[in-house]
Amino acid sequence: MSASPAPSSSRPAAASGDGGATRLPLYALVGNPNCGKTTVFNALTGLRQKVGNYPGVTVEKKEGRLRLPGGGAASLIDLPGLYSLTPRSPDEAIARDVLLGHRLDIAQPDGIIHVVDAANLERNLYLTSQVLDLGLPTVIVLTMTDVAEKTGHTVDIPALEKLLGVPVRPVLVSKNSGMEDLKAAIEHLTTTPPPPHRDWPLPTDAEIEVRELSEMLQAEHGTRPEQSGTEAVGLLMAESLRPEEEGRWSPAVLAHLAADKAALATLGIDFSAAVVEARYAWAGRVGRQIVRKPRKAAETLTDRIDRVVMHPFWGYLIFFGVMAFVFQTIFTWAQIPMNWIGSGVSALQHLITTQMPPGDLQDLLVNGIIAGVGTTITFLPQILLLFFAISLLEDTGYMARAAFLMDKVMSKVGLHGKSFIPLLSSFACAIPGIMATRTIDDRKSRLVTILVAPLMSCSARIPVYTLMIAAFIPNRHVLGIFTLPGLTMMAMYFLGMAAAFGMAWLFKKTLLRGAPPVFFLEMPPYHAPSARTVLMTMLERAGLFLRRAGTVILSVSIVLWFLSSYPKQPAGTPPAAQLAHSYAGRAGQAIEPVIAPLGFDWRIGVSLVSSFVAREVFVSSMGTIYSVGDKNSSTEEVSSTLKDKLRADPFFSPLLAVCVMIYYVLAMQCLSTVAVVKRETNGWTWPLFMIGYMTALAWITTFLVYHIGMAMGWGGR
Amino acid sequence: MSNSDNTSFLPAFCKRWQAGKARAEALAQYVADETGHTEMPLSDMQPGDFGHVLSLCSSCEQREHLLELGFTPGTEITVVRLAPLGDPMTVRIRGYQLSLRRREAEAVTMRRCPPDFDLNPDDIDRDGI
Repeated sequence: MSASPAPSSSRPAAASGDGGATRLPLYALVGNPNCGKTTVFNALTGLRQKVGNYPGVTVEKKEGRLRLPGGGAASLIDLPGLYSLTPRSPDEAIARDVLLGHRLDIAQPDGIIHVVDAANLERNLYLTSQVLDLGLPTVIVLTMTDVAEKTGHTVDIPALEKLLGVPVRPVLVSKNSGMEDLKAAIEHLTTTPPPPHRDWPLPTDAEIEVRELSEMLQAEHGTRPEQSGTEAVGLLMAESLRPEEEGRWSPAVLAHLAADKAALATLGIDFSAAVVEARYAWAGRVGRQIVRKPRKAAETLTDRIDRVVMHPFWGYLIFFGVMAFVFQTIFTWAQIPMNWIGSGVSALQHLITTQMPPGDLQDLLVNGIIAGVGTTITFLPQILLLFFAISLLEDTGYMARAAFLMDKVMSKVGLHGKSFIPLLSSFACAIPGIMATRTIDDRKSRLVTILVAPLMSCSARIPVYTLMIAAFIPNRHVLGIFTLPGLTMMAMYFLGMAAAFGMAWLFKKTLLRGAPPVFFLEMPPYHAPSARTVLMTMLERAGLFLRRAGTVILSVSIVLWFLSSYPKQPAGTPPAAQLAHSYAGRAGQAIEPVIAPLGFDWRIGVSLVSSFVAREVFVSSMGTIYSVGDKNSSTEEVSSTLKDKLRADPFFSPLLAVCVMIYYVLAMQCLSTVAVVKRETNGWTWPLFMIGYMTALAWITTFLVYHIGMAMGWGGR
Repeated sequence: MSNSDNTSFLPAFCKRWQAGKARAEALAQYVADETGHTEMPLSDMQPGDFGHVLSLCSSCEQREHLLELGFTPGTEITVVRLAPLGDPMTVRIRGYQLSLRRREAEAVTMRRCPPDFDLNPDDIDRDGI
């Protein structure tokens, strides 16, 4: 974001929808987290919404179209949930810039739809004081009035309208009440007068500085008078200006600002504290005038639920039960639709193979494009189900409790309580896991979580484990109840977990060092989830995945198909020789010197290269090399005969099998994950770093295991 | 599922017990004034304790963030609970529940009210200004 040359003069000409402009009026939806903002947005826009990113940052941009009762329409932009417009996090900075018209990609909104939680009015009013200061036409949507009533709070809506000077519309989306009134108010928003001048006086000296600076902004930059006050307060509050702010203001303004700050410092006025206290004093006054509270706060249902859910014993029991449910959902239940998709894809491949004349085009279609599309959509059931579970947990309010319970444990490795669910989800698949890190506000914690998530053993590793275990780990009982294969499998899972936590700790100590992430988390009252919100979140995530990662996965699949099919060998060459002589095969042989210290030969090398698309390709690739079926055969078919072939091969030994498994636990053998990390971190730095560190970790660990094993004489069969 | 840096149950138990004793000693250093109020950091208040914010650390990193969350001088705060592992803690402030780590709560100096303090929201100027 470079500086905008003409900072937010008057609002853009097209803004009010007058002058024959074709642009629809644009309204911004602003509110606290947990205030029901998403529900209101979904109710207003229905399916007419699209999700993207603000350029250059990972803040999500949600837009929608709203049909108004009078036949008109309006664009709606849903800003991230915020407690304040002080630009502390990227979310807050973006929201502030959008509302003040500082962004080049979005015009300044023509009005604000501000969602306020009636059950939590005083805290919500803090943001309201900032929203009203913007001087834009505003309508307030009052949600959760039913929750407030249940706890004996009554909100005097006419009095609130009078105090704030803007229309207030109570809405209960779940009961479909108030929506028509709200839409009517939105329709009249362009002609609604902006809120009156701010009502929270500062100490006199501070007040003078604000007035001076805002007059200067009006004179120097033509800032709207209604907006100049908020700009001035923002500038005076900022300890240091953001780079994009620096370039926005003229040197005279910046000089004046520095002088003001010095003056305030000599007067001993803590400007930020004064502003915050004045706003909260105002919020308190408004709250006392319009909310009638019960004499003695009764114990709420939330308190009663929390006494069980946060109990040292029952709390963790419930927590592990919930987590087991989430895990079960994505690990086992998602397999059912995944198998349908798998058989659908192979049926289609079979159909084309039989109906189309063989040749390069058929091969590209079957093994390049359809296989690539198949890989992408196979992830969909897991993503849908995980986000179903996550939005259910978020919407009911349990997510905050889970983070609260796990925070201490996660903080030992420098992570955040919210890192737990993404890491757990990564047991099924790192892709939904990495997408789930969006709930972590702290940038460094989120990055560390993304970096270690692929170390958790995902379900794509299972075919590799089962093949190696079935072939080389004897089915012996240990201690009566355990079996050796089962224990080996468990050991692989533990290795992945230990590596993930170890690396997280290491990253926080070195590369991403910094103060431990702050953990300020609101514990929202429990409420019944809204089916609509849960469903919309699911669809939104699935759409994002298909659009963003799907394209990369598909193109890379086609490239890898090309690499493993060309150059073509003369007709009649057995598939094994064809693969060995392809570019991928040659690459596998070329890396043999690098992997030889791990005990691997070129055949494993070829499989390593080709399984870079997805780990389970290892099995079919080994199958091709050992002439078991061809690349059109399913993993299960190949696996059952391949294990006998491997067992008969003198090159393989149980130690080598363990080494292959360990390599697959630790190495970054998944292009889809790389694609998602690229999208989530907005660049190639972190995905490349991830490939680098994971490969190094895998190589070193496997090297040690192989050589220690050989030295101990375990290399035999 | 207790302290993960301890390997077995017994040392973990002893350590926690010792930590508990150390905490009890730390708490003993806070002496109530003649009105029964005690000045202490929020991080050392116990579930059920109630008090008012006296001040925030003057130059700590989270000062402004804490202020914006509502920790302005004079604000009433009730400690709702500590997480089962002792950290973080949940407090009730301005009608909502907020969880924060004890490390951040250290920055908030409180004036804890005596346990039998009659809590009547209408009588207290909550803004402290």
